[in-house]
Amino acid sequence: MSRFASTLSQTSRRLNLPPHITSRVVLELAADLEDLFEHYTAQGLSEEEATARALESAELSDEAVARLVEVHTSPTGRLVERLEERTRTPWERLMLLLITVFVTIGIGSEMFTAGFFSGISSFLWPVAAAAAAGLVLVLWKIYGLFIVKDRDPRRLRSGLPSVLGLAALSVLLALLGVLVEMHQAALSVEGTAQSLAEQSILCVARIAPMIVFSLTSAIVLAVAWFALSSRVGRLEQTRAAMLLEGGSG
Amino acid sequence: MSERSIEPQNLGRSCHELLILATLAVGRKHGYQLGLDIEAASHGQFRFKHGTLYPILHSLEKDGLIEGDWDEDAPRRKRKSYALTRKGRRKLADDTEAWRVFARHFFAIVEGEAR
Repeated sequence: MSRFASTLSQTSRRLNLPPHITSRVVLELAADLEDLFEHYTAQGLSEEEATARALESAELSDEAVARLVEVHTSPTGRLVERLEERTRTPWERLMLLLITVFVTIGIGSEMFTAGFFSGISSFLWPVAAAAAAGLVLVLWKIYGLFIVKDRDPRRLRSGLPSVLGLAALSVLLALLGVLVEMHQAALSVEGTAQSLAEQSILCVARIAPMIVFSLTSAIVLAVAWFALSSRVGRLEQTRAAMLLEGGSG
Repeated sequence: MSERSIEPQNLGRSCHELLILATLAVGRKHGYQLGLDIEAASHGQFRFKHGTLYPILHSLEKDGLIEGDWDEDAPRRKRKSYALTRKGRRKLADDTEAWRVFARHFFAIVEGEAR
């Protein structure tokens, strides 16, 4: 890509996008520049003239750069990027993983003690269903990434936002359950202070385990989503770098 | 009357999108080839600067109207080519009709006033 190298690196700097997306845009531009160059030389232009015409034709205006950034910017993508900036080294990633494992084991062991789920709100079932669906999706992605070793970024990325969506859904369902349980408890109070205290305690006993369960599963799903998104992002970056190395020129 | 209508403030964008979709209806093409084909087919009337193509192509790809693929087996360099998806074909048919209606009304006004 020698003759267009400075333009390509300049473009790369102007694109405020995650590295793997920038690499792909630059790679596409590099191939088109070479094709345009060949097109113009085939028309009889000198190498200098063909280079200048190709550069003029393929120039990315500020407006085009802004639109490209807009097209490729998603809230979840930005979130992963910011989190990745904070967990750059393998040690930091390991720490994040260990904290998650300890929190999960700590809360999980508490959850599986006898009686934790006794008398729990029936809203636990939809909450658990959302969490289970998220877990199945995570396992499916892990299977694709590490067992089948699928390397198609588009296929790997598809469905990942749903993991985060299901984590949020389990928390929202738990909150809905809390409101319904509180309403039912309020209707059951018989007007005495003792009845109020009893219903309040019963209500807490019904909703607290559900909240603990939904928050724990949401944390696990969110961490799994982050780890999978980062992994797919790194794969995309490696693949784009390979394409650029073996690409134009 | 078409269900879709062309917003006058989005004329340029809608025109570019439709030209790209229509050109891809013929078959898969690379970005640079798309620009040149549109220019040739319009006898130079629609001259695309290739730099303006990328945001439109990427936006159409993101919306699932076209599908980009890397020709990694290309003998000399890796290139990205685009093809129309089923959703893109539907959009092409809808937008073609919308543009036909738009042009009819436009000329009804312009030629009517000119007389």
